[in-house]
Amino acid sequence: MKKNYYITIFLLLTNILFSQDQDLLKVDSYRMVEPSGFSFDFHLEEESKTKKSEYTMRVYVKDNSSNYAICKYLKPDKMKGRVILVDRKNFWYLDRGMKTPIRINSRQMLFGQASAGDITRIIFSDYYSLTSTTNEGEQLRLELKSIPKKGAVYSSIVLYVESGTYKPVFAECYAKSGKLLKNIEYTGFGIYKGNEVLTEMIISDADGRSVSRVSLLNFSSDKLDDRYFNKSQISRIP
Amino acid sequence: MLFKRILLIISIFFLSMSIFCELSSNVDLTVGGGYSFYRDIDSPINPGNILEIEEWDLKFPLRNITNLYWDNIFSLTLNHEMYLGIIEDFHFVQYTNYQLFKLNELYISSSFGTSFFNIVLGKLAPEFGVGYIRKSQSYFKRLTDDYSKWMVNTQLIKDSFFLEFYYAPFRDFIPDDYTKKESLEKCNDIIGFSSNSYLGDFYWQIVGFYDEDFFTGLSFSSEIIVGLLLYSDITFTNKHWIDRIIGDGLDLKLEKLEKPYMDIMFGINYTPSFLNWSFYFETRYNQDGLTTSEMSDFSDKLLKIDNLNNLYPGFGLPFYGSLADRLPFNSLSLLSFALHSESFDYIKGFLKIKNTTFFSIPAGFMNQLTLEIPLFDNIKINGSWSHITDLGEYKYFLYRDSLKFSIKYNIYK
Repeated sequence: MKKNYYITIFLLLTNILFSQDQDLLKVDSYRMVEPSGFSFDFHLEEESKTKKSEYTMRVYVKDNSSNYAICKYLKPDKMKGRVILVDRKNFWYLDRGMKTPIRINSRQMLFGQASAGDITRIIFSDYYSLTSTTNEGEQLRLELKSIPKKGAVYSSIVLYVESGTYKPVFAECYAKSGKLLKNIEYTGFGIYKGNEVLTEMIISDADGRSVSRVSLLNFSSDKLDDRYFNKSQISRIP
Repeated sequence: MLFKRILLIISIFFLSMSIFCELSSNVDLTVGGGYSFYRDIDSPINPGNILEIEEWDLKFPLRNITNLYWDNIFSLTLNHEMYLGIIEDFHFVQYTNYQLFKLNELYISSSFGTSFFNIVLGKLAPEFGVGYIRKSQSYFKRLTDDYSKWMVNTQLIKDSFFLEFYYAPFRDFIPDDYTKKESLEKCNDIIGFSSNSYLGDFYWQIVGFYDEDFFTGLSFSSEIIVGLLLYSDITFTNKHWIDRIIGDGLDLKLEKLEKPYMDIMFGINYTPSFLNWSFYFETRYNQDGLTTSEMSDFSDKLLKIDNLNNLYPGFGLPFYGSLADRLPFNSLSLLSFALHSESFDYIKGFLKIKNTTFFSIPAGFMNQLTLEIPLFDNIKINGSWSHITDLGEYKYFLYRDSLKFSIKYNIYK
């Protein structure tokens, strides 16, 4: 009797966890364009009280794990030629004139309001676990908690998605202290190879001092060879 | 001779193919550097002005044009699993920054499964000594002349793991007539290896080579919390560099020691979440560093040199640490500390600031402030001011105060 009880509990928990993972995977499907790797332009327009600037980089994602990514700066010209390798939670930086890459910490690659993680860690399910789901009418409220030692940028995220489609609508990103750091509004979606993918989002400071508009453009199945996703090889990227 | 012709044909082939293939060309050209003046006529390298340097040297010496990088990578994908390519000016011996060699590299890469295997044939040319003479030679001349030698390098790459072995025939690197003329000793051929990967979140790298003597280096780094990176380099070798005056310049030579010595560097890199600034603190202990009397001897030697172009003996030889590009230590000192801060984004979109403070024993303090202003996106103006606070009695620095301007124009396709 007791054995059956444990089995029932186990199956119930497994079912809940599995379904929660499935929920997150449905959300990720709007960001993971091709499991075998792909590339896109990450274009950002940043606006604050004191300045307005634009950046563009080409992001190459190695595979569906999103553990490996290479970002090549395209604009502005003063940053053109910089390369960032994301090797799981580690960042390597190579600039013009440098012969070997140096390691940087994950806060050193700022791209306007977008952090390195915002750009390259595009899969929620790799870095966060779903702790609760609440139905709020037309939307679902998903509470995500960072998976320890995965290198997640935020400690927790409250993500609002459309009921049924799981299309992301809005996210609140929190620090470990519970302080709200950023708001992300998912504003644009497009069709790539028959699938609906995220193409626009607005990232804003919690205090509203600066707003960054991000466009994800020129999705392509073009990818860099796997060998380039290694610290020893990024200086050879053509 | 046959090798030379084959390489020449291959080079021409790749150059012509590059029109159709992916081409990356990167030029960083400093068109005006080394504009400097001396505040003190009794400048450290020139006490009593025996070199007759004018107190306010307002010349704009073109000879000090520096930092010309021309990195070309031509690659041709034969099919999805085979690549051919040629790289010019690849920095070969990564761990010993002061042992720079130019490598014109021809590589063949093949994949099996998720791994890649490279076989590299390269032509090496020395950077020091005879290398200076050869800098003005053309690309093809450098590829085919007698100074350069073939080397073989094999590499295995799988995800984050990298392993390479290489053989470099340094023994005949410098021709006999040159070694006799300049009293240089020949190097030995080198068999070396390098490997790097991660142990969990802990990055490690191990390098080494053997040429009758040995050199081993270990490098570690880990981002223990978000924004805080710890890193360290440890090296053991039974050779050390000694200086010698050759003609009107200074050359360096490796000398064997009876006992190996250790060189250890430890660094912290921190970026607060509320600032677009990074801070570095590094310290280094060099067991083979110069003592007070040795430092004085070295200083005396330098005073005998009347041509010091591009020679900054105090801080000129960058340490081979993981952040060597940022913090060139005083490699001659026993113990060094460096504190460095820089804005890693342009402040207000137009100004980048770096400040570095060194303290070396038995050298003294130096502070360097650099401002960088980009113009028209691909033109940068750099201005830096170096100030040495306290030299003590060791007069081996070129400047006490220096002010430098440079303009960088960059073309990048």
